[in-house]
Amino acid sequence: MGDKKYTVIILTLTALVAVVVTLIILRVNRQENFDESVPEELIDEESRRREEGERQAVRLYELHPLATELPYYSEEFEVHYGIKNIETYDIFYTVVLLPQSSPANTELYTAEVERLRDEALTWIKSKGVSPDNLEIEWTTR
Amino acid sequence: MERFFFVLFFVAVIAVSIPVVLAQGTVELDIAERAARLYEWGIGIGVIVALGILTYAGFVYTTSAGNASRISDAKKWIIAGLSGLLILFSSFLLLNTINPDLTNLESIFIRIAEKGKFIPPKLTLPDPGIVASIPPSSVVNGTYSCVWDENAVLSQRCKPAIFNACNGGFVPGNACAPNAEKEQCEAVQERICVWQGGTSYDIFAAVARSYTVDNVRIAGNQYPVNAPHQAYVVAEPTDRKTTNTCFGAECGVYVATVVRNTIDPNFPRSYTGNQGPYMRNNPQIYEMIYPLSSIQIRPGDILIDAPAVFSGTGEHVAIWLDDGEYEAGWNGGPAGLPGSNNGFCGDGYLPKGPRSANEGGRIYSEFLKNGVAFRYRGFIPTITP
Repeated sequence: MGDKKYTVIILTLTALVAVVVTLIILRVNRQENFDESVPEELIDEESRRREEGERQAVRLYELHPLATELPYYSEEFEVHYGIKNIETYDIFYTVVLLPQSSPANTELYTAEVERLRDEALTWIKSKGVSPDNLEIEWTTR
Repeated sequence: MERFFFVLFFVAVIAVSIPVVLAQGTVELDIAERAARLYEWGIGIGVIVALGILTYAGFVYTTSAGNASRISDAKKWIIAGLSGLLILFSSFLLLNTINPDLTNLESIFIRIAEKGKFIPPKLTLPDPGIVASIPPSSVVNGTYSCVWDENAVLSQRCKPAIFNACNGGFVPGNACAPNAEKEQCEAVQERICVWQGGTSYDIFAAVARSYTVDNVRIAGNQYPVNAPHQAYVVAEPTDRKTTNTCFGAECGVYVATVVRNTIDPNFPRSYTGNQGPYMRNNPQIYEMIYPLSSIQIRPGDILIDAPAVFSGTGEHVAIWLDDGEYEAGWNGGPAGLPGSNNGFCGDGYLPKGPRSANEGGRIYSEFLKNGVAFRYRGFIPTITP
């Protein structure tokens, strides 16, 4: 009975060691393989996928022309977009307002946020897009 | 018994030391790397000690000659050795299974202010948000010289005498003019280095911009013979670029040329399917941001599509700088496929940036659909004493 117990322990341990050694070897090999020369066929496949991605982008930007200008950064606000559903080309926008005043001064802060919000809306309209038709999440940083 | 352990320890030390002594070349390790080595050595020494105990126990067991006391001793040693090994391996396996990052030590940044004032180490990583505002770094003086290598291929005969001779900094790609005659090449002696030792975002961005061939998309097979392009073609990695300059239009080759010459000389030479997994497997070098939205992107980020990272079947990789996306594009798909150019890269484009709205958006939209940003951890902000 005692011998069996030790046999089981040793077998378990051997299996454990084998798993760990295999993992280490696989990891080392993976690291080495990363820098091997890649056949041109694989690069061609990669390029085909990128071309497909560019084609999807064309469709996306036809529907949402403002997105081609994004992300937009200024000292007063940033405008970003994210893709909700690539199948239906649904996207959402995030406007980050960058007020300089402290939230502790509520009156001043609120006024500045309102002003920045108006400026962001003006910028969006200047791109020929009505903000009313956009799903916009407003935030501050 | 003491003598047995002494002999065992001596044998273990010899066994471990021989490969170290026989190893050639030297490397300098930073604190994080040394800590990581200590961790690996700890595991190695633990295994050696445990196996030593098991060997000893086996020896006692087989020589017990039925002596109940010795058999009992041997069993205790066996249990102790096996328990040690189990704990050792289970801890590594458990941590590695939960998250491979847990078995990778992250860098600890120790900063010395310009006036030599010691600033205690911070265990948190530099705030990526301030990367964009890093002022230009001070130049550390150093020199480089060029040598003529008669055995090299034609366009690579003039090369820096010592790679990274500039105080660990960067010798610009065109420092030793690739088309120079032998006399011209050897005349370049003890020139002051342009780049500083170490890497900051400024150097990374400057190098990324220096390799852009023009500010418009130029097809890969219509490259201009201008200085930036020449510098780009001969900058390491040169694989295929010197024999087929068209190959320089591959997105992964452009990113590799920038990254290998600035922040990471081991970065895979090409192909997103290698570069994504490499960055993911080296969390001590790159912080991974996934899933990605453009709010999270910071200057210096390497953007890559998620399938490249997680399944090795990628499509694009690019560099994000403070004014937008820098990239190259290879369009040499197999014959017969829509949009392909039968193996030529005429539809692709050489390194350029920043990407503009009329190039299909300022950012490659697939990055926002399902993309990953890898952020180099070594962009250290300048310290104001």
